Amino acid sequence: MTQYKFSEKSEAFCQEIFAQMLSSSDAIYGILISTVDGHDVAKNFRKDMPASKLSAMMSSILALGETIAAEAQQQQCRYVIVENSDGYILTLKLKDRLVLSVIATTRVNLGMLHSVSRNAAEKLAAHIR
Amino acid sequence: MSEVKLIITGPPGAGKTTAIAAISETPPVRTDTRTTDDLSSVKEETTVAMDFGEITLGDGQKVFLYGTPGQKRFEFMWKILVEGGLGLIILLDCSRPEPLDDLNMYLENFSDFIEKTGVVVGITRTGGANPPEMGAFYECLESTGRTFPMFEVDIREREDVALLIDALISTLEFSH
Amino acid sequence: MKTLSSKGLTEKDLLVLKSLVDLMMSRTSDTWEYAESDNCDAIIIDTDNLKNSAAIIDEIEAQHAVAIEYSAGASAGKTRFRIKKPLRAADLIAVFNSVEAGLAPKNDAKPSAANNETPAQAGISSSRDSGTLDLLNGPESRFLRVTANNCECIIDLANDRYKVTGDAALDELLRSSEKSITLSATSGFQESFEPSWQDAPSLKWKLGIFLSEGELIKTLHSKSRFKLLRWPPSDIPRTMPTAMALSALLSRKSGATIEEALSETNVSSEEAIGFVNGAYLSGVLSVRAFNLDNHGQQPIKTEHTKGLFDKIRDRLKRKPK
Repeated sequence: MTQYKFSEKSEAFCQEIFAQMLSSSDAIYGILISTVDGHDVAKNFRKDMPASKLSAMMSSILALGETIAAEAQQQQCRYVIVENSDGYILTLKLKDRLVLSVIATTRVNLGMLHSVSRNAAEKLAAHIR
Repeated sequence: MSEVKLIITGPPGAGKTTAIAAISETPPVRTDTRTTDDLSSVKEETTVAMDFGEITLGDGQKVFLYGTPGQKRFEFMWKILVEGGLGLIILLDCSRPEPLDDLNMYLENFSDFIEKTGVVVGITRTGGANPPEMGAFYECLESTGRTFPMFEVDIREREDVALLIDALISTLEFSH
Repeated sequence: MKTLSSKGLTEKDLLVLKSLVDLMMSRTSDTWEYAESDNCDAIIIDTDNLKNSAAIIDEIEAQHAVAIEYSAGASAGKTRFRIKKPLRAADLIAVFNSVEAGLAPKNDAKPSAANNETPAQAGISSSRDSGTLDLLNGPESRFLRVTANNCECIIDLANDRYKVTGDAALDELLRSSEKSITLSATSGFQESFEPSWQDAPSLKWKLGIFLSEGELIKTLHSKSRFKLLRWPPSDIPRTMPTAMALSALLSRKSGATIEEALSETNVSSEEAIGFVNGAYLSGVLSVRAFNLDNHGQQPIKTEHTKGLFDKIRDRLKRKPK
């Protein structure tokens, strides 16, 4: 099956950004880029997690977020956050076709996680074709 | 008043979203996103969470129609969506390479739900070269141990979607 | 116990046939066994592989055995029973059950194991005069001519097709109270007939539904338990809305009797009988020779769900606002 794939250069750039994110907070333990239709493209996980399954789930939840926003007559869903007793999962759209998901423990402040994720998304969006 | 939930599943491009749009009274809720894989040669968008439509009965009671994503990677959504469902409609696309394999895959993945409820199969796009005969589809259904309804349909037509729902509720009423 | 033999089958088909016969034991009313003998209840003939298949079929039928035609293309029109290639379990079960119904005795008394195995020519023991459908069910009838209201329709029973002159549709002709029907073994009268053949997969269903006149085909018994092996094509429930309830009811694991169909649905006796005849003529009806005490699965039907299903049905009939 033909799937969306980064060029070597883009992949290297992604990994560089992922490393920066991971070093910014030791609470972050998973970063995943997937397509809007649920295929995994790039990742850096410090824990063993099923990237392909998470990719499909992230695409579903982001699409649901966008649909719920539209039903509630709100515009442009920016993030979907799943807040759990022991962590956060933050998902946001990255250009037209991609989704960035960041998985962290509660040791990070949600505002900080927001900021790290948004900055990374901006940098990634500027470089990835 | 209790709500009734029917589930529509089937491979990508079989017409699940179209079927819900054909019969729903309200504009269907969709979660379509751009396709980025091989499917993009067939369709530009695909459902990644669910489609949703509704029909209001004479006394105000609602029948909710939920369309699942087609791809196996969204299996987790299938499990979420069938919860509390009354029955299943499987749509098959005969223009795909192996429609019988498609049917077997959905029968297997929804087997617990089918066992508890019922299923109707709608066969679409039979006009191409060498579509399997209806008998071959029925052989797949025999694995369930029950005789379930199967019809060739044009899923863009409201009447055809209504036929599938009618067959499903008849199965639930008389042969469960 | 019924025995089955074959003539002209390829080695591969023979292997498949033997395995299917072994596997199908629980799916037919009687037990079938494959035997290398000419003295069997039924013989499957591969008419594609045998040049003299017509003579072989005549010989089999002369010995009061049942000939089952097995071919890839259109029927040669010699036999009542036919299986289309490739061999499939469902087709075989349907034919076996139909053959069993034809061989079963017709008395109302619950048959003992011994008399259940007594072969009898289909239909001979009934006191009722033969109706059109009984004649259709015989090996000698291949073409049916229906005329009504200055329109004429010729039906090719073996190939599920028809041609019609005039403006009337097939359903209209079959429904007409003014119709006259002629049966023929030959296609003689088709030569002068201009319109081209139209395929109609639901043709035999329609003959059952429109021509039954409230009488079951003689080879069927009113007390039998019927199980539908396949639902009818979509034009049947569109022509006859009660076909949905009947299809569902007869699809139960244990099947259903006509009496049960009448008591559990709003279907009329004529509709139920027409439907059963149509299913039988179409080869998708499994017949148990008498009503078993074990009724098997019953529908989970409460007043609540019954009302709900009726409301959904009512809503589906209405066009969107």
